[in-house]
Amino acid sequence: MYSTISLITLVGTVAGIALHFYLSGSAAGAQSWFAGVTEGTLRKLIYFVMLFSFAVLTVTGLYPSLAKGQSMSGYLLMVHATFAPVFAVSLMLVTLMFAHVHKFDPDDWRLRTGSQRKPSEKLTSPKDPNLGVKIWFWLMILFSVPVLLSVLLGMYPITSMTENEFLLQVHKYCALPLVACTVVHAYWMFISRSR
Amino acid sequence: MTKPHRLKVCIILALCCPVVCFSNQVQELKTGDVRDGNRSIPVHLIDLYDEDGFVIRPGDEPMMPFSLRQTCQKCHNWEKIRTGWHFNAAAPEVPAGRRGEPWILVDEQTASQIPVSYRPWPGSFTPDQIGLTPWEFLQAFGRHSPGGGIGEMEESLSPEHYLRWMISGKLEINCLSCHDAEPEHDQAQYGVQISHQNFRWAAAATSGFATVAGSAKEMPDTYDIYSGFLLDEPDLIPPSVSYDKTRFDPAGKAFFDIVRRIPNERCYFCHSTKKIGRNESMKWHENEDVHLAARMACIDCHRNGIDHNMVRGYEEEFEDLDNPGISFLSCRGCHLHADSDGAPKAGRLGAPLARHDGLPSVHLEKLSCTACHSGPWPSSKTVSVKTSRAHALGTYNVNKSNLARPHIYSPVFIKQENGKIAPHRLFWPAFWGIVNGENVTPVALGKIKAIANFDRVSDSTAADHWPELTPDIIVRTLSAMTVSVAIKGTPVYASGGRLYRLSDSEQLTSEEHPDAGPYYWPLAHDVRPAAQSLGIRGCKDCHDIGAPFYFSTVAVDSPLETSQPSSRQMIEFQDLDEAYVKAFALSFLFRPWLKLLIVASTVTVCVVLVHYGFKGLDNLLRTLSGKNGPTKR
Repeated sequence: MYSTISLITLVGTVAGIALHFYLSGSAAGAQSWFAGVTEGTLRKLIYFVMLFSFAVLTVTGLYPSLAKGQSMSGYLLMVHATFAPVFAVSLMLVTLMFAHVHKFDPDDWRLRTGSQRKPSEKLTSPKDPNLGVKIWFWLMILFSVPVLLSVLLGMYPITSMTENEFLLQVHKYCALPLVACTVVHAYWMFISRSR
Repeated sequence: MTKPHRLKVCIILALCCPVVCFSNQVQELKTGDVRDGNRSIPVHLIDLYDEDGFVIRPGDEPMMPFSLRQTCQKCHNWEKIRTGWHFNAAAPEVPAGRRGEPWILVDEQTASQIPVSYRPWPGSFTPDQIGLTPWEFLQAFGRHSPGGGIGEMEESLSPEHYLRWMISGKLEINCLSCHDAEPEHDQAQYGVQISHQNFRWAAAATSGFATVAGSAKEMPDTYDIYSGFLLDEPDLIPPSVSYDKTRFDPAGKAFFDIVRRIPNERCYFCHSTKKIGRNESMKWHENEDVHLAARMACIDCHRNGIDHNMVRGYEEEFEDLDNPGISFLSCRGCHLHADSDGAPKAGRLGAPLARHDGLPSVHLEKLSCTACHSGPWPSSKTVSVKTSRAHALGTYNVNKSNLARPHIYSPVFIKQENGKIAPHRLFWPAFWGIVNGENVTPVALGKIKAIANFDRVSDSTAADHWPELTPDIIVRTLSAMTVSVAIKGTPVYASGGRLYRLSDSEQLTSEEHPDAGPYYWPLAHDVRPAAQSLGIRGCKDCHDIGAPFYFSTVAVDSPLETSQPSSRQMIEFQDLDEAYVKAFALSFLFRPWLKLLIVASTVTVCVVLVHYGFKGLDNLLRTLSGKNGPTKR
């Protein structure tokens, strides 16, 4: 069942992004929001490290399930375990560096008839991501907590094997929305136009 | 009534009695096979019967040994009992199940030690393959058997030993081997009587109220057991039995102290193991299996019905036997949570439930329960052990040398057919054989001795040393086998996992060959307490560079001094990638750092979430209450 759900999640995410990209028109001439918000090489580097490590974790974690119907083991497990701390640290830094930019403000909640901002509208400031980007960012952070906590608790002799199995399921199933949120957030960061 | 008269009566009765349908005998349950529900033990104050079915009374002449078949089958279905696991090795229709400890035929003169079994276990050879007749098999190994099987099969009566069988009698199932609770029961007497070929008298000799003298082995082929009269050799003592008359009540019945809950000591006679070598221990240093220390009995797990098909207790046994009803008689059945028919079944007999705190469930897929819980704690080298059946432990005049052959090593962690790694006992077969196609089969020892001259083999064959076997002797023997018309195939000598043969230029060559590989069988005892299980001190008990579980050395035992390695690494038996195992073990060095980083990251992320979460909530509430104006940029 997990491989089916993960396949649906991946396909759905990619399909949604593709549809949105098609409907929102050409990106020619639009300034990437990412270029504006991520001032400084360090911030860009950290974000890319997070994305790259997350990509490795996603591939190593989902490939055995999707391709072979098996649990992760062997060298894939070792690569997964090697990149896990890299992702954890980079995620922590991304959270610290990007949280303020993604904080919700009153404008995000105001409903103005006929004047609600559209994603295609230019941002008045390149440091002002739209509501969608913010939501995906915080969802990504939110889902990362059970993913990290589940594997952390499993490494201590405090849960029984049955409970450990439950933690493994939490890790696997919470990783799927994390994948979706991260991919979508990255899409918005790189593709969506400024307001 | 004299014996000749008894014989006439037997013949008449046999002609007059209606034929009993044999097929019904197996299904028929007798009065002793059906319980009324009372848990006490019926008192076995019963008549004794000899093998002809005549009752035995004190004062009979000649006095005959009691036959347990004739005596016990008055109340118990003997035909059903004889299909049991301890007696059915030679029955071809019986599934062999998981491989077990074979009999090991050791011959010092030819430097041979061969695994022998009637069961078709991979790596073992049948007695037929090595030229052992049932008669010879019983002589060699009957000492640690409960009788029955080939001991009472008509097919065992080979022409060359027919007259000897008539004198010795059949080796019937000895019910007393297990069910006799009498302190005077002496199972070692069984081996003594078998060595004298006193098969008919062997069971009686083990009881506490019968004494057997004489030797059927010394009797001529013409000896008559009923007359007991030797014509020309008055110095020979024919086999005879005498009973303690005080054990008979006034009605002539004798008392057997029979129990259902078989004492562990009965099982120990055939199923004992002694650690020797570097970790040689005194008896008072050792601890029993944790189950027995908790006052359980062997039969609490190794149960059986009237069919005596004892449960061996390994995980897949219920699948091998197609009997789901015995699945609860395994480690998992008692120690792991398992519901059946809507009711909890775990915790049977007070078994603690295994939480396995912190252990990823993949371990139960890759390892057997015994891998972490059974046998000696793994050390840098395997331990040498002696077993009852391989080393005749418990018999009179047993060789107590620690180096007595065969040399068995334990624990050796090997991947089984079911894909799980489990601890085993292992020894390295050595034999002269022939190659036919891809298979190697041993040549009968008698044939080898007739072909080759082993006189030059050192006589210093104190049973704790291999004979001196030089490459010259091997070349000479293989050459003799090559030219012998009795040998069909390429002659080889298997030893230490290698196959030695002559090249075209008569040079001795060797190669690794699976048929020359070690014979191994899983061990399940002694079970260590949970506080002594692998992993109790953390993952590094196994996942460490140099951990004995993967990297212990297993001795390679061979009489031939060569330049080949005399040991192997444990991981060679586990079908694992050594580089991966080492790399994975190395990763555990950084595990504490991994935990620290994840803790730091999780805490940070949670703090940020909470902080901005409350801020966002504040803004939401302000907006809803209309207190928020346009954002100033």
